[in-house]
Amino acid sequence: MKPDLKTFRRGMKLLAFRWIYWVVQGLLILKIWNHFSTYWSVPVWDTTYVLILSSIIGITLHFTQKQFSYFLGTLIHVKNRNYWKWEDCKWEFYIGFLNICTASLLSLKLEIFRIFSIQGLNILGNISHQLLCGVPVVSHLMSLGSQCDLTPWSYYIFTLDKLFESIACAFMGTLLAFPIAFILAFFAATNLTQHSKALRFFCGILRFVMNVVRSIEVLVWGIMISVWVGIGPFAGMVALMIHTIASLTKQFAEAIENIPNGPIEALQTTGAHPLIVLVYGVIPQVWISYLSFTVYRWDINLRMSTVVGIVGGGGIGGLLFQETGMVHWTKVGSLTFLICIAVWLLDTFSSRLRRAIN
Amino acid sequence: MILKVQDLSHRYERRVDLTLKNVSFSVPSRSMLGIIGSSGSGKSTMMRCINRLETLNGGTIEFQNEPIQNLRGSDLRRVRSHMGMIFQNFCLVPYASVLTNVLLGKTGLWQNRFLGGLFSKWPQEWIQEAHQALERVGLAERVHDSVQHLSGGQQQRVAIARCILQKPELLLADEPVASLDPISSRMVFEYLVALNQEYGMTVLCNVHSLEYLRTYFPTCLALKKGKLLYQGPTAELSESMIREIYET
Repeated sequence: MKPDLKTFRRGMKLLAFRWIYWVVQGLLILKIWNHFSTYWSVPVWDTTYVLILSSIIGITLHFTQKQFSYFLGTLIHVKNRNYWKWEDCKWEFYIGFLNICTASLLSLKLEIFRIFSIQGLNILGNISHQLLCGVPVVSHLMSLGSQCDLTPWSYYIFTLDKLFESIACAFMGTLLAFPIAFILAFFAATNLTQHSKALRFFCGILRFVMNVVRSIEVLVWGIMISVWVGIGPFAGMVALMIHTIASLTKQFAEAIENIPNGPIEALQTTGAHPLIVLVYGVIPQVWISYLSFTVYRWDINLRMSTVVGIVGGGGIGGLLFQETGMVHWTKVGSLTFLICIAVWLLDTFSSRLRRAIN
Repeated sequence: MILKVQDLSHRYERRVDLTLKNVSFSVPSRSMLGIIGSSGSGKSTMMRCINRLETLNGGTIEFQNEPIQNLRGSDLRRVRSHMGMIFQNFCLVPYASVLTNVLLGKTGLWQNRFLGGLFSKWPQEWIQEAHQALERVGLAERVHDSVQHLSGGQQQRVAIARCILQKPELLLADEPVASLDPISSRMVFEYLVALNQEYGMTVLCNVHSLEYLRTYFPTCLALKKGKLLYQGPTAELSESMIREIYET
């Protein structure tokens, strides 16, 4: 009988998976143990011993359960390849899940008693009072002027300029990202690139790069770009644009992948050039989703533009950061109020626009 | 002979069984050929193989005495522009107007100057031709409607108008009436006959109904589990042969 290499390889993969799984579990148990060892007088465990122990547990479990017979079976020809059974590994899964939950809770350092601290509540109350002083109509209605300095109207006029900077930042970031994402999406869609090896390769690379770019938060991009081009709204715009390109490319590519293949084939059967197929067969089917996605992205960018400002992206976010640093809580309240109003207005506008497009 | 198929074999990816097993037949010019067979017998796959939408696993296909089984790129597009296709689910471009969908039949002519095609408007004579084609299929009043607002029968007539504009020598119709009511079905078949007689197109059509086969197609071809079972005049198709074709 010939050894079945494919099954053998799968068996080895399963062993590797089990081993890694138990090493991770071992590290989690170590974390839990060490946490309690600070309260109780128990010895702290050594990481090396835990790793060795968990490896032994993982590998022993692999060979003592049913999988052992399958592993042996892989050396000779076996017909039954379905050796991944829930029944065999459910206890391992339960233990692992409990482990992850406990370790996560412990790492968050839950200190519930702090919520009821009188000192903390006092500070919070003070700040909230000052924040409320910054909200124009509310502070006038509650006659808070006698208790704190109200924000002067001239400050609002100065702030509106900064607010417009933030809105422009989001708008231009989305607008400039759209054509780039539009072109990249055709290369990132698997159904359009499957016919050529080179395109398939490029598609894989592009998807990977876009995933990396997307997984880096706009805030981090903001920091990186403001170091590069200097602090200001331009840095914020570029940061938003880079993140938007990656997000829109993914969304556009998925829209292309979801279109029915029929119209494309119908055009191919007339002998049309691939570019003609793209223009007359693909784009008419996706442009509505494209517009909808772009408006939604603009919506997200509006909210993000204020946050990007905090890390040097200019606009109202930068101002908010300055005022927070100088402990001008009244002005922080005014700015927050303005941001809320702007986001609410533009959010309503963009959701109506999306509904109209659909 | 406009089409000559020799030992055509096809297997879908990751499947063990062959969908088509050494199918050989030839089609004379300007003929109407009906293709029958139970579901899964390989009728649609054969149509797709002839148009090279599927890759062959063996055999040869000669279209107008030119082997086309290995053609790629512009050569394949040139051959395809002489081969029209009508689909079971119409395959019109959604959100586009009826007129645009009909004009798409002409896009094969743009193969050598596609960039011009991308940035130029449709030529006036093509638009006129499209209007005439739509009039021919009785949709002159729906020219500017979106295709989604049309009924199934009307959509299939738009697909036929698209073929009229393409003016192919060979028309492959893949179960064109599968989702249509009897009146629309009859209308579609009458248009196929008209294409055959007026424009001299050779029509290859997958048919499910024996009644339509006997009415509209003088010759036929029967497939069973990917193998050719019968080719000849429809009138000579015996009851025992029909039973053999459709029995599982």
